[in-house]
Amino acid sequence: MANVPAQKKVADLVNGAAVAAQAIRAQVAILKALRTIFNTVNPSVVGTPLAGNLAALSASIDALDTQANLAVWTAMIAAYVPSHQGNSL
Amino acid sequence: MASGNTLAIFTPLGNEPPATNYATIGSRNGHPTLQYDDTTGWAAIFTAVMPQTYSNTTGITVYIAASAVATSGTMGWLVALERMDTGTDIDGDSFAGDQTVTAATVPGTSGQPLTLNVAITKGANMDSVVAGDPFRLRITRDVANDTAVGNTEILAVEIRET
Repeated sequence: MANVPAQKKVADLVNGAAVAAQAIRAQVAILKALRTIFNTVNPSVVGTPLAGNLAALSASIDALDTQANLAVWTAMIAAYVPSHQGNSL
Repeated sequence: MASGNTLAIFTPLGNEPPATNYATIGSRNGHPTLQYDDTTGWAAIFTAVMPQTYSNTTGITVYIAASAVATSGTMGWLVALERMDTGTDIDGDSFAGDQTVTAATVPGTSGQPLTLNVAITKGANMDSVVAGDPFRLRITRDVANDTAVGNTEILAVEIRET
């Protein structure tokens, strides 16, 4: 643990949360786009891993989307300091 | 030389970086900077010769002009001198103890320079540098005490006679 003031230790988690939130949002956006295309094509899911799971998967994508866009994550992204390299905790 | 007169000026491109934990060269709107990490104590080193006009009456005052990424928190520095007289083996470092530039609040606008200073008394605190001595000046960010998150960036350093 580095001998630095609390503000820099806090920035470790803020930056980590910001980077993760941006990555999660990007991945959720990909999932949502895939779902849209899938629904348009509407292939048969019989005998595939999606059989019986399609509704649950879609609901989970929506839940991820909701969580990833909570204000707390947006606040972490806004507070991100690129030149803080971490290693303070 | 009279008190307050300039003895030396250093700018980022004059840095002679240490082997490890060195401040990195940056650029901010075309201004060369020396970038300092906020957690690891990076350093920059400059070499000069103490002018013959230096009177060694009281000592020197080192002024450091720097900007910060942050718009809150404080910025502080550690300054050390190393005399390079005939008794010095330059194969090893022999800096005097760090002198602390008290951390002060950074400007509310990122990019505005903040000039801080520390008076260093003659003698041991200056590694006994006198007129005509080659010497090195080391500036380290005081990461243990300043609170600004993100890089701080040295723009220029001035040494004046105290």
